[in-house]
Amino acid sequence: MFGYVVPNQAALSDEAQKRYRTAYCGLCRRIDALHGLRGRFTLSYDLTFLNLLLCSLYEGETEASSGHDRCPIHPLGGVEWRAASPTDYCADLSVALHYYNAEDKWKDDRSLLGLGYEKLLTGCKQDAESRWPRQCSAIRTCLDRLAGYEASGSEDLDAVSGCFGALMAELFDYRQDHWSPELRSIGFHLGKFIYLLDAYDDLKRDQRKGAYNPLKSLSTQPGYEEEMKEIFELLLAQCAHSFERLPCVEDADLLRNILYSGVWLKYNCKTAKDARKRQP
Amino acid sequence: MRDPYEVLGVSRGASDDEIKKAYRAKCKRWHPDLNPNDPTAEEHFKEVQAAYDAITKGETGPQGGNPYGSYQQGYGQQSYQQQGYQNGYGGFGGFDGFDGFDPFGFGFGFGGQQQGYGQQGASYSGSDSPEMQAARNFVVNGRYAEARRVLDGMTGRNARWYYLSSLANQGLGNRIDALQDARRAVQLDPNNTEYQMHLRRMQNPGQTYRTTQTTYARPGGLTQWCWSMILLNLLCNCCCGGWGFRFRM
Repeated sequence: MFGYVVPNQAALSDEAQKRYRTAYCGLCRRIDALHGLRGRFTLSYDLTFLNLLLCSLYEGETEASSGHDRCPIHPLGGVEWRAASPTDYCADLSVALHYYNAEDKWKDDRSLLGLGYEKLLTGCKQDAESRWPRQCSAIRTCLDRLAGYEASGSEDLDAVSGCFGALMAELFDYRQDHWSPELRSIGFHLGKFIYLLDAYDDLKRDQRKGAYNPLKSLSTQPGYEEEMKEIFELLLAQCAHSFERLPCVEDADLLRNILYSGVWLKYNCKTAKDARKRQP
Repeated sequence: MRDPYEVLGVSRGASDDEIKKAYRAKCKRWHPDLNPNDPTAEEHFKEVQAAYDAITKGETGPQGGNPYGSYQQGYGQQSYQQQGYQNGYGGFGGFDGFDGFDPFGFGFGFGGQQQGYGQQGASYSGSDSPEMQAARNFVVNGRYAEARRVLDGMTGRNARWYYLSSLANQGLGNRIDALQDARRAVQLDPNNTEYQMHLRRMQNPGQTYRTTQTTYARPGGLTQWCWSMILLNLLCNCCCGGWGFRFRM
């Protein structure tokens, strides 16, 4: 995805950082087990977040495993990892998302890299699709709807970011069970946030290239930065609100660190950079 | 139903964390997959889930009233919408208001408006054009899609238009549009207290979120605001096991 859903390491203890690492390594291992080495490059922090969230929510309900094993990146010493059923789910989503993203890059930009990845991940995607047809179908539908809005130059922020929000809502809704409403809400609002943060970050570049960006007109209005900050806060407030309703105990500190602090790191970096540029 | 606090084994004054931990403990005790030979496990498990819901939604006593009155959720299978969009949100208006477990202050003065707001907000104005009046009536009666249609068909966009548009968008679950419209209304008519209060209500969840943030954010030096460094540091931690490679900021 976009790599914005990261932890704020500076605010985490060593022990908490280690727990994040074991969840990350656990996801990597399961991707490898299900999809082989080719799937490993799809590993992302965003899906590590979902892995942490679902494993925490379903703690004790699903079989969990952990271990200390060798790893291609760590030939000496090995790594500690932990995983549970939701980790396999996240592993499948990883490859599926990368596949559809690559497919779009080839279709829209004729990117050879996109074509390469698409071919590489076809088999993996088919496996994931057979296990999670609802989610994979939603990825395709939402990305198509988004492409439609982008092609028409839409600046309706709710509609445009809502496509990505709906996509994430479907992915976060792991089992369509009792926790479905809260998980969908977390996914929906986080998805909107991610999409708009990406647009906010890429605005100058998109303006230069004449590429689509839903914030083009808004950025010329007075109070643009303040308004964007408010929008981000509103979305994350909704996301956090739904999260607080879930009975997450294990790794709740990591999840809160991400939702209250980590997701702002990119935004803070950009505003600090802009402020430095404005200085004489 | 049994007293939910009794089901979870917590006192009435238990903190959110205690309630969650108690739920987890009961969950492990009664989950059907962990009790394959116990036919009552499923029933007990559902009771535990219902008890957790009741406590987090504040339906724990005679004052509970309509448990879903101010908690609407118009997305997915468990929709509580009654007549189309009446009193409901098209999108994720859902978790805006419920009493009880409400750390973000959504319940009072924000979500609570979902039912009563239509009548309280959008005050009558004698200077409204016929179309504006129609839009206002739709908003007041919770018919947000129709309000949206009328508003979109109008050419003049004054503060009043933006205010009603914000209410309509809010009803339809278009939060960002609603917030933007609310800001426009205040910009165009800064002395209007009704528009100011509406905007403040929309900003309320953000304020509560910011307060909670102070626990988790930590101001850093200049290097902390370099995104590449942050990612590099994170990658090193994740992929290098944290030994010897960490860049301390």
